[in-house]
Amino acid sequence: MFKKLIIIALTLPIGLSAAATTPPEEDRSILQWAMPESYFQTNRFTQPEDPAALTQNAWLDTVDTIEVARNEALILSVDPTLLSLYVTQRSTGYVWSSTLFKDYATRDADNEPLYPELTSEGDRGLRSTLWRNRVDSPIWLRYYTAGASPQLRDETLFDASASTFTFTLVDEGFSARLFFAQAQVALTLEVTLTERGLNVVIPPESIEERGDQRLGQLAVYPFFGAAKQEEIPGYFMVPDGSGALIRWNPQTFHTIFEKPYYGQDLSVALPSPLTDGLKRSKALTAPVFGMVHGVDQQGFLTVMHSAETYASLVLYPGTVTTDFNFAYINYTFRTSYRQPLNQSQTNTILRVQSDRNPVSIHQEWIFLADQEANYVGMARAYRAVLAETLASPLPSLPSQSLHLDILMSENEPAFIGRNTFVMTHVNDIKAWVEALQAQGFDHLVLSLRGTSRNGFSGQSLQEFPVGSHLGTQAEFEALFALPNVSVYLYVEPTKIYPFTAASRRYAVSVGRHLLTYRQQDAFGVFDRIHPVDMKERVQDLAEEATAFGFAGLMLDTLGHTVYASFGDRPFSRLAMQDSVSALVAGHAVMAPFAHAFEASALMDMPLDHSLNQSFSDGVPFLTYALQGLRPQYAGFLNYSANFTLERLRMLDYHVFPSYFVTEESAYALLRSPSRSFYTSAFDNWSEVMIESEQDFRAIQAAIHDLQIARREVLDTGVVLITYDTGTQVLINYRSVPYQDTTWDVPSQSASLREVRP
Amino acid sequence: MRQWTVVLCVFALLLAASVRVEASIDDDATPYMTYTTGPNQTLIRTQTAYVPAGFFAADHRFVAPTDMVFYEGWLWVLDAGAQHVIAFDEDGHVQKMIVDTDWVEPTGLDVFNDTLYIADRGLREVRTYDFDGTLRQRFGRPTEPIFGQNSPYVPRRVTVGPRGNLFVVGEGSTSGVIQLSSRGEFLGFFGTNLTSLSWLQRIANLLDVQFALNIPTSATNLALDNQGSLYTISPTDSKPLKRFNIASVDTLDVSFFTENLISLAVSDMNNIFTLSSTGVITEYDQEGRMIFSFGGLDTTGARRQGLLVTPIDIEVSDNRHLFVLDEGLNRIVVYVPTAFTRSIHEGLIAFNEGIYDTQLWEDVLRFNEIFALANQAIGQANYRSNRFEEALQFFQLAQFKEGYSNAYWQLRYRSIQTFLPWVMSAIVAYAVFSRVFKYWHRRHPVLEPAQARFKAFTHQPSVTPYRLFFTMLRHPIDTLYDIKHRQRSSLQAASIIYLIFIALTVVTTVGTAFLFQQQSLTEFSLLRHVFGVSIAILFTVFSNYLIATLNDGEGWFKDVYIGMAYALAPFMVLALPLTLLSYGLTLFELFIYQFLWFVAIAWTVIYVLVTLKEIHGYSVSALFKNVFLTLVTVAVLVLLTLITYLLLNQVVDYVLSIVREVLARV
Repeated sequence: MFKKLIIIALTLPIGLSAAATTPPEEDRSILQWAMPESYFQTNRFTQPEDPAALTQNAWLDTVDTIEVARNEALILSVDPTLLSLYVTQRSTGYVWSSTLFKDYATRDADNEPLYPELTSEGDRGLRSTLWRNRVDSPIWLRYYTAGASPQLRDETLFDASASTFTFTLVDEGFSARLFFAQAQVALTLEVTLTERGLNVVIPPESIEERGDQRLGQLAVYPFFGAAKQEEIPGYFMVPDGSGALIRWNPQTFHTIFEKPYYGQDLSVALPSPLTDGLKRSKALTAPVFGMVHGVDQQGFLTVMHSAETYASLVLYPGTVTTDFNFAYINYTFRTSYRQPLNQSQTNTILRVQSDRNPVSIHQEWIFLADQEANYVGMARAYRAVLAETLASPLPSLPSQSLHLDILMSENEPAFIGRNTFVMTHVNDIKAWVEALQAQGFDHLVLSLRGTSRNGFSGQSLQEFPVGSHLGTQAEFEALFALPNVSVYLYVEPTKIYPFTAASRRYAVSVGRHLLTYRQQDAFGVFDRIHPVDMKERVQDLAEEATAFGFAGLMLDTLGHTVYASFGDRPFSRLAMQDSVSALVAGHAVMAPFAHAFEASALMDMPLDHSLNQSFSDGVPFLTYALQGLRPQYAGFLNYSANFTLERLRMLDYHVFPSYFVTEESAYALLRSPSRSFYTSAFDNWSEVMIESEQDFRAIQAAIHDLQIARREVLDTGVVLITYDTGTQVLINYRSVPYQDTTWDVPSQSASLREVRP
Repeated sequence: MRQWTVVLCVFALLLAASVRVEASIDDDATPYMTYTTGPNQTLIRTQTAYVPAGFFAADHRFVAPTDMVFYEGWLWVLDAGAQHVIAFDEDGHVQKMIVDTDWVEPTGLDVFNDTLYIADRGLREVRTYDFDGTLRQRFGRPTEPIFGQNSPYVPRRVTVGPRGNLFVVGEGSTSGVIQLSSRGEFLGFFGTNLTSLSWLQRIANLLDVQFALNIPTSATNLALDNQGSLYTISPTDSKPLKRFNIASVDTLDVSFFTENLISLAVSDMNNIFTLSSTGVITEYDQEGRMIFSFGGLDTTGARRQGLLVTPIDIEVSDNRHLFVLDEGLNRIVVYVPTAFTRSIHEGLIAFNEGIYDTQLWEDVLRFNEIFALANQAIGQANYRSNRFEEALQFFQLAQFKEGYSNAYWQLRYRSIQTFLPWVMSAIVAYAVFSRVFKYWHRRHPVLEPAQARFKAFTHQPSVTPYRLFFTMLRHPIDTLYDIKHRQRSSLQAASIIYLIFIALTVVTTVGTAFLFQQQSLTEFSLLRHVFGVSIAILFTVFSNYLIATLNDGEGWFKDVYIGMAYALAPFMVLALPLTLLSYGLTLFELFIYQFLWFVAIAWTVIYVLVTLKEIHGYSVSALFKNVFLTLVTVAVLVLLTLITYLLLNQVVDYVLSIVREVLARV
């Protein structure tokens, strides 16, 4: 009690109000309009939690199990007849299982349920042998039949009587050798208990294909943590964009969700062309997924330590096929593809990939309990994994920072040929920086695009691209010499546009369909550079840029595009992933997937998911996981229609803002290929930048060294973030003030309650 | 060889220059981009206008909804599959349900004065109900003779006007919207779509040939605004969106249409929202200016919030939230305006009242520096404050010619007031000087040797062809005689004239003053222009020579080539002065400018005809036959070129596919 009193006494409600009092309606500018409350109830925002208590999963199969390992946090047991797993969280006593009690919906002769406490009206039950086998099987696999017309078939361990397995206890776990008779595939499954969870490994060298069938796909313990419809309160956490939750509500989650990690494998299937006016969907950005059984009670985060580029996340709702919500990762060893024989693709043949993908399965379940059993706990768990695995050193993390993405020059059609015109001179940038620094901006990150003599759209990988029309070497050096300013050189290293001089210099990546996979974005046609050429060129450019004085490269596309190459110079998707991880260290990277987190600054970080209708909430999983590990910057704030709301969201998600700026008006770009940039004049935005950042300076200074401990939604559109020291930040997105016994926060603003020791 | 290298390099450079790069400027709050009107009525990207805000009444699953309407804050939805109409309050809770199991195919719904109106295309009648579900009236096919015996009556949509009159959109009702009184009496057709004659029909009429009937299209949907104007959608009409005043006159001037329109709604500020079957929602202000266009279909099955499957109806609530009924999703998708849009709406309300809030529009311009409406509004504000130079600048940014013309007129007026005394003095001084000089020159002919040298120079053989060019203006027949029979011109001279002609077409295209520019300079390509004009000249000359050889024409290819060059003299002489004149005129003097251009072109056409007649020695009838056949040959040549190009493409594709098949199978 005494301790509590001290804490209360030490808690100083500073109440740093971030915004001025809401002005009268008629004086409102774009910066001040707020969104209606109904908007905060959409799946773009996190919704208030339902604190339903859950003591045990009642649909567990109570069978004789062998305890194979135990530590302070967990007990691992196994049913040796099925290889089913049972993991007990010792702090809560909660048991997780890879199987379930399959007869829960059995009825007696009078058609009355034998287990009424386990059955609900409309339950399907598990009557089909196929699905009963699937529930029990530790592995599902799919294989391609032999012959001229290969077909993809499913098999579980218990489908064929000839399938066999052996079970061996090892230190802290067990090992099993499995043989699937129909697929003629044998493999070794290794399961071990660790301090934080469970490791499952299938060594690639243990996989044997004994017949003509070819292994296609494989999933490990797909029913682990399966939860019956709404009867177990909880959700899936999906690393889609910044992160999303799928609460087990059949009204919204009623179709299967399946999505590959890190986007489609471009070497196998090109993304379908976009309808005019639509944006590409966000991808799964990190090799994880999570599940919660009872919010703030128990949950787990599954992490893939390898093979994520060949994996897809599959989520089943309790309304499709079975009565259970379940999730698993599906690994692809081979794919079939249609080989077009003509340009119009009217004539094709079906082929199956001959060699297996280099898939090495190592999947870890990290168990979470109590206050950690939620998406913030998952982010913290993943942060610990990243802290262990990230090889590049931790960059210095500023308390407040701003990223300016600057277009320096562009070209437009002239009477004959094209005319390159300057949008921003290096001296303009220097003047901006000095003006911003005078206003208290201690840390600035600049990325310069359009630096070549042919302007932004004429930028080539062939030459070191800094044109003299943008400033002399001395003027650039004066910019580089400014304190606390990192200047990056923008490079697009994966795309090569045909008919340019550079296109002859670099080899083009070849898709599995044996055609060069020429793609078209909204405004042009391009090829992908062969990964080996790309790597060499980026390394050369990096050397040239750093010698010139740049802090490094700002790499576009590379961080979120993983593609392989076939034909004469094969290069796998995994090799591309590893190559990118090594390449981005020391540079800035835009919209990165997890393998590009080695970069020293992460730009264009997602603040949203792909808006799938199955998602119930948007959550800051990804940015919370990287908090304190890497400086993170959002997309261009000056392109947001809800400026203030999005700035608050950046504070909530712990990312710094970015602006796209030029000295000249964007009107000058109207005849150029960069006509999509419709706002950029620094003079228009500098005042807004200064005012909006000043509002948050004190808050960001107070929290920048702290670890996020908790994030709660107190009411629709009101978020409270608590840090490990007890300091709290309340963010009110709404159009009305938020008031309770401790908080009084004006509309569209944030407030800090600092705990001083 | 070097020349070819240069040509290839230029070509490669142009191709390289056509590459377009786009950086990511997309926010993540929507799956679609938003467009607005930029300068010159072009579509440009802009900030998100509306964000998807989930489903309205998300817990309610419709069976087969067909129509919906807002009435006093409640959203009424006709669910044809469930045979009922449901009224939802603003929170999506069901407040009323009206059921009629007699309905066969109800497709239209409106609520007015506490009465429900249902258009049933299966029953072919409109029914009205009390809010307790009691059937009050049934309006079947009008019996008035004026309705016509053969006019179809298949009610599809219904809306009720302020006086209780019904406007019914009927399937195949090409005479217009059926207007009924509150008692069901037929009052007449309203908002008839006009027909237009195709050129083929015009020729048929001229020759008194029977042709297929020219029937107007029928409207498919309708809406009323708060001033009683009726809006209709006719997707197959050349102008699919119309607004009719009380006199049934279309008063809407819309600059941009979306294809496949299916529904529309009008907001409290009379902004118009249209919905297309492709899922695109477009917002216009009450003047018909396109403000925003966004949306699309979920064609990949990605189930992204905000994309539609089979949209069928759109409504707008009092707080300007958009509601789209989607029968594919069986749900109502809600879109909420962003802060950017709300600011623009405030600006538009003021703009429509004649208040040009510069501060507000400058705020909009900060977010989109190309936004045409904002530039226009600031231009208007400057114009009102007599800051015409600034107004001119903003009107030019908005490419708003009317405003530009007004501001230019004011500036010209000011200039005339300032400089008129000086100009008049200069003219008088010139006249006096000219007379004095002439008088003096008669006594002291100092310029005569120079004049004689100039005359001698113009009569040199190498200069003669160019002197003849000017003679052509006054004595075309004599000049053509000199060219054809006295060989006074050459292929080289004609080629130079053609080059000058091409240069002049470029100058008139790009050099004309902003007010009179016909083509957007953003789209102008010098290479394409020069190529197009050169091909047109070559095809015409070649075709005419071909036809003339078959039709007893006396002219050789050389004669046609040279003669045609001289025939262009009127255009070439007038083009430059007219281009310069465009800088001194405003839209008030548009007629003068257009008339002068008409004179230039008509004069040139007449000279072309005279040239062909003289060169080939044709009679008038033979000449017209020759001209007609020449035009046909040009068309055939263009067609042949296209076919050759396509066939070559096919051959290349065929060879490539064989190579690939061999590579794949071996």
